[in-house]
Amino acid sequence: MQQATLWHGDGGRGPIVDPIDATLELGAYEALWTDHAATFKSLADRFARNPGIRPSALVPEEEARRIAARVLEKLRGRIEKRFDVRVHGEYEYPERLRDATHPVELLYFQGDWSLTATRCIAVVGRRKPTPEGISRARQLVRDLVKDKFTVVSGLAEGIDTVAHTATLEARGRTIAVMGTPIGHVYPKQNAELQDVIARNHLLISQVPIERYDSQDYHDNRLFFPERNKTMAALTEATVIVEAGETSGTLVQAREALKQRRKLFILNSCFERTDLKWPKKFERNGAIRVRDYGDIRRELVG
Amino acid sequence: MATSDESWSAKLRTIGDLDRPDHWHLTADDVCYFFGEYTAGAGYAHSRTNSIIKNLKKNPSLRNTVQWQHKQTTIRDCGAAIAANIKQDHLPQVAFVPIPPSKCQGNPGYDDRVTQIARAISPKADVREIIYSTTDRDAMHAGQVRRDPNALRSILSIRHNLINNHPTYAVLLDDMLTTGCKFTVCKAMLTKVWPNTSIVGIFIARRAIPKLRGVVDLDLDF
Repeated sequence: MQQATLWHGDGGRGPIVDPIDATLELGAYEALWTDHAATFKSLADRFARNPGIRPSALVPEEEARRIAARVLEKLRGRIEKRFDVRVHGEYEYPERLRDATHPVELLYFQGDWSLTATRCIAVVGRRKPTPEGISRARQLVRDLVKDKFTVVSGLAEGIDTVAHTATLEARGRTIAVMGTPIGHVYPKQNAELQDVIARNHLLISQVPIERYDSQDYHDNRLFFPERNKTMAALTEATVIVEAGETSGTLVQAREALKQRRKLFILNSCFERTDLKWPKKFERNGAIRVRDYGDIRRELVG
Repeated sequence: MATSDESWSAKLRTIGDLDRPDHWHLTADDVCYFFGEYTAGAGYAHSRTNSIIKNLKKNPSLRNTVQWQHKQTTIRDCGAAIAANIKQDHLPQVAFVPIPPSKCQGNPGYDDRVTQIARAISPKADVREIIYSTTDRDAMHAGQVRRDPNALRSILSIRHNLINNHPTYAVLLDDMLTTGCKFTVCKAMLTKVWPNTSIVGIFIARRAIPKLRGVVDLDLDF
């Protein structure tokens, strides 16, 4: 077993047991990502091997402080409003995030974190939806909002965007779990939507700021499916509106089932004879949705 | 009860460079810790932290009602949570000093919930109500309600009979950290009487207050 180097193992001086310094953890988290071999899997494995430790235990304090100062300066230059992080072990970090295949030690966010304490349902789907898919997503979201669920999605083009905007139109609550860092507008056409969610709802990202800045689009694409694992963990159920056979949405479908969350698939997906995934997931426990009542029965009773 | 779950075993979080701008009276020399984050506004009953704060702030007029039992349970939970975050071998060297409530002792609305939390930390905890209010804060002149630290200092006083036996550490205790004004004023008062004591703050929750147009509204007892 690889032995971790513990830099701050004694919890520091003073009468408090091992307090969490979020600024230090932010710097340490970013520092861990400067290793180019680092992935969410490699980091999650490292923390799994050393239960109870935090990023700061694996990075010299001076380095973590230096990087934290640099990242905070960058983010304050990019983000007008306040932002914060959640660190594994603190009171407001939801334990259910540990159900993810690669649980994250730190998340950046903007907006109202208390939305994570509401009943959250993910609505996801392809980036190039059909007009019928858009219409179904809108109706689904209206129904979920009526039942007071918080609608969670990934702020991507297509179904994600429809899920967020339809929630806002229905005066519901929404959470965006981005595959890009906070302070970075993506996709560009969602700039206003992203801003509204960050101000009045909740925007979450696990993507490290400096690593993202240092990579090109090709490498940064790998962050997208990772956020789906976190989104599955954050929510009690995922609803797939539309997805292709190789869609990133299916990462979330697999995760939802693996994490024993409910997975709903709209019936229209089953009617596509060219798609194999709907039946495969149904065999593994996914629920086919012919109308909203099929969701409501499972979640509301 | 929102407080009786596994997450209440959480670690205290330090106010650092990231979150200090939310509490703009604090400087890098101020060491403050908190558990949860309070969200202002109606309709946030879903937040566990909000439930804790709501229970803690139940008005003394509700004494002898079921509501009061929720308050007492939450006080005990808060005390236990703090106890779990204090190094046991350091406990004899720590004095817990409640930040005084907004009403004076003797006022029917006087609420010593923070003192009760301190006493719930441990029967051995050294709890000293050294600082007290000499004037009800909401009875102040409207212009003074938007207080500056000097105005706040002018209505607080020290019980000098309680300052003997200088502790190594003093924990200023309160349920809510907002701007940090009360903490910095109380810390300055304690520093005068205990010059060699290391003073930190522990708060059940923090609440980020936007700094608006230079308005200084320092006592948001909501």
